[in-house]
Amino acid sequence: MPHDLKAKSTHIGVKPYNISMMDAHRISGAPPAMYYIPNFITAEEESHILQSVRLARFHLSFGHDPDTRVRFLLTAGSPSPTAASKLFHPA
Amino acid sequence: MPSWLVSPVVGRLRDLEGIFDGAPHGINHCLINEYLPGQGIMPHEDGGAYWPVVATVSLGGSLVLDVTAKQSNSNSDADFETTGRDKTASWRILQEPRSLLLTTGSAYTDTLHGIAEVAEDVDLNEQTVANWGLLSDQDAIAAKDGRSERTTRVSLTLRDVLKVSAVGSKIFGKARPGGR
Repeated sequence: MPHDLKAKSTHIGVKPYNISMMDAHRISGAPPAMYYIPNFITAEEESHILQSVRLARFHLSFGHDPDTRVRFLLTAGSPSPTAASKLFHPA
Repeated sequence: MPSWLVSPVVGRLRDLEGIFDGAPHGINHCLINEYLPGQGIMPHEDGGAYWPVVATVSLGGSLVLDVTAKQSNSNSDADFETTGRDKTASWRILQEPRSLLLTTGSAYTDTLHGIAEVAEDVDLNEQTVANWGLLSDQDAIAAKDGRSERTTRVSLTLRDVLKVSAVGSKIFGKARPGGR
């Protein structure tokens, strides 16, 4: 495989998925329609996002409660620290 | 939306042709859940507050999402009487680290989804896992006799919230379903 093609094929973000490519990822047997794409992000990207999530929690002083799933929400535009802290303390 | 979500995740989702077409705001919302081993969520549906397309990116660990058809009253009683068991259709979706799961259409509107509160998902094979043929690493699971130990998993659930302010106040007020 030529080097440039190989480079492209290792990273799906380089080339937009189109409908016919999506068909190859459709979960057959499930109701229409569910799609599964393994390795949508790379291991490096995964590490960076996990680190960013941890940092966001730290900066918002979110106490880790082992009995509660961590859940927070990011909407378009950055939430203010006050609004965000509410997100970090769901009832 | 912070830059570490726009690139690579949100930008790459926008490149999925057709998937988020018609969503009024595109992707304007990301719910981040952490699931420790043994944690899960009761079967639920996400409802009409969202455009009926949801993208779930899994980070750090694998787990099984249980998807169940909503009960329809048409045939279920008869099925139960003739077979003696509930024939409700269900699907197990194994979500590996770094994977994307997209749920659209009637898969969104006509099913419930939940996650079992177990420390290990078991009995995973070609017959029991709906997305088995699409997995990154079937061999690793087969080598462990169909078992997948839960480790800490973080999920990103990306959607279009239709009424941002009204829904926002509801979400802020109390914890609500939506986990995947």
